[in-house]
This record gives sequence, structure tokens and C-alpha cells, in this order.
Amino acid sequence: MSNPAFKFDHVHIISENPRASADWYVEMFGATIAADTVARGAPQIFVRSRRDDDPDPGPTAG
Amino acid sequence: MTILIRGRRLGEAPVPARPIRPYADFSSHNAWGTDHFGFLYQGNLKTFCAELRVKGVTFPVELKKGVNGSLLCYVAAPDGVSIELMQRWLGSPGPGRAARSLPFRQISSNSSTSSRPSPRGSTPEHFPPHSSAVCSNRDGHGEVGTLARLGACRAVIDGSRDFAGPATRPDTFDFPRRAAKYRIATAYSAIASVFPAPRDVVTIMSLPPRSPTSRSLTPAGRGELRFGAGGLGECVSTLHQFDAHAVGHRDVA
Repeated sequence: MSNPAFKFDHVHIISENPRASADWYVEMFGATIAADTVARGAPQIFVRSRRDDDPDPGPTAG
Repeated sequence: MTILIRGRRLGEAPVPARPIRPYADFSSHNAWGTDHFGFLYQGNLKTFCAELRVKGVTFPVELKKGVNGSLLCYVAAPDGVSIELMQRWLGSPGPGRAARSLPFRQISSNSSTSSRPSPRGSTPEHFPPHSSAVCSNRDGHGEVGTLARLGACRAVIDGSRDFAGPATRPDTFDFPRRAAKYRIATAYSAIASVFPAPRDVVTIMSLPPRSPTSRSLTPAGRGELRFGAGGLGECVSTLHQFDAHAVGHRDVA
């Protein structure tokens, strides 16, 4: 997207087992769990790649 | 990049994702909307995939070469998610620049080699599209073509042929080792001067693997040479971490 006002931010996955899925990304891709939260009554985990230039995940409405 | 993974919220009744399935020359979940997401892997994707496989990961699309020469595969992630992994070309300074800058006369861009017939049935059309420099001469195209089919090569140094030294018999590999060492070292320096970015270099040579002479071919501080079983009865060495940058190495066995 050439418009500099836009930057790709996140992928949103609906999971039957969020914790297991998050652990999968950690184990397979070396990702990190940046936040383990609950939103709207459901677990919500932020998994991040380890690129240094990625900003910290901010809160998102999802 | 952030991957937000969350559970089912009140009122939702998610349906399972459709399985990914192959089509003519691609794969998809055959559903509207987001199909998959992709990661660019900056390393040896083949090795990484082997590690994933050991951990039990399955690949709905096995590692293969994409239309632009990049390697790609699809990983089955939890929740029916498909992840594409790619190993992309490392950029190109352009064949014209390479051809002008490399200081030995046999260096040629893809286009300039296209008129040569291949002695082993492989044609220059097999060169990967981003191959920016092919150091070869005489009947070296068969080997170059073979390597190109095995994977993308930013540069190929054919040390088994005479670059600029005395003529050697093209059907044998009994060239003077000293000359070979000079040629390959010169080629490394030339490529390093042309390509400031990390790159893959595949070296074809006929020196015995693990010989002292072979080990000495690695320029100091420039990386590491490893030897594998090459095709065509030759030793094929693959340069790792050329010029102190991490680059994907190529398995040519």
C-alpha cells in the first residue's frame, strides 16, 4: 500500500484453543507472547515476531 | 508483526476453516476472504522446513520454486490457518552492472550467455531470472544449468574451468590447483566488490573436498566453505555467510 498513512499491523485469528495456538507460533517460529489478555469474555493473546523494528502491540479492538 | 489469537466470543459460533487444497499450480482454501498469510524467511528455508517437520509440522504445499524463482511452501498452522513461507531472492544490482564491474573477461550476464549452446542439454534459459552474474566459460553451462534448476543462484563461480588462466582441457579437471585457487579467490573478490548486499554464491570446483587447498579458498573473514556431494562427478562447495552477512545456503547434493 503506497499510502504512508497505512501500515500493516496485525493478523486476527479466532481459535478454539488460543493458548495452544499461541504456543505453536512460539515453538515453530520463535515468536514471543507479548500480551495474554481477556477481551469481551474471551482469551486474547498477542503473539509477535521478533523483528526489532516491529512496534509494541497496542490495544486493538479486534 | 502481531498475530492476535483469541477465543470465541459470546454469541459467536465459528465454523471450521475449509481445508487447503491444490489446484492446477497453486493451492487455496477455496473460500472468499482471507486465504493465508505469508512470512519471508531470511535464511535457508529448506533447512528450516526440515526442522519444522521434525517437530511435527505438516506442509499442505511442500517446498517448491515459485514463478519468480523464490522458494515457498505452505505450513498448516492451528485453527485451519495456512502460512506461506518464502525465501526470496536477495535483490539484484542488475546484470548490466555486474557484467561491467567484474574484472575478468569471462564474466557474463544472462543475456550475453544466451547464444551459447549447452553441451549437456541444459540451456541458458534455465538460469534463474535474477541470476545476476554467471562466471563460466567454454562448456561450463551444463553445470550452471543444473545448479540453476536446483535453486536460485545469485552468482555461480565455475572454478573447474579456466577463467583467465592457461587453457585447460574442457573434458577433464586436471587444471593446476594453484590457478584454480587464484581464479576462485579472484572471483570472490570481484563479486564482493559488485554486490554489497548478502548473496548466494555457489562454487563449482574439482578439488577434493576438505583438502587443505580447498579450505584455503575461503577469503579471510569472508565466510565459510562447505562441501557436499555435487552432481556431475564434481565437488560442489557452497559458501555460507559470504561477506559476513547471513545468507541462505544452497544444498546442491
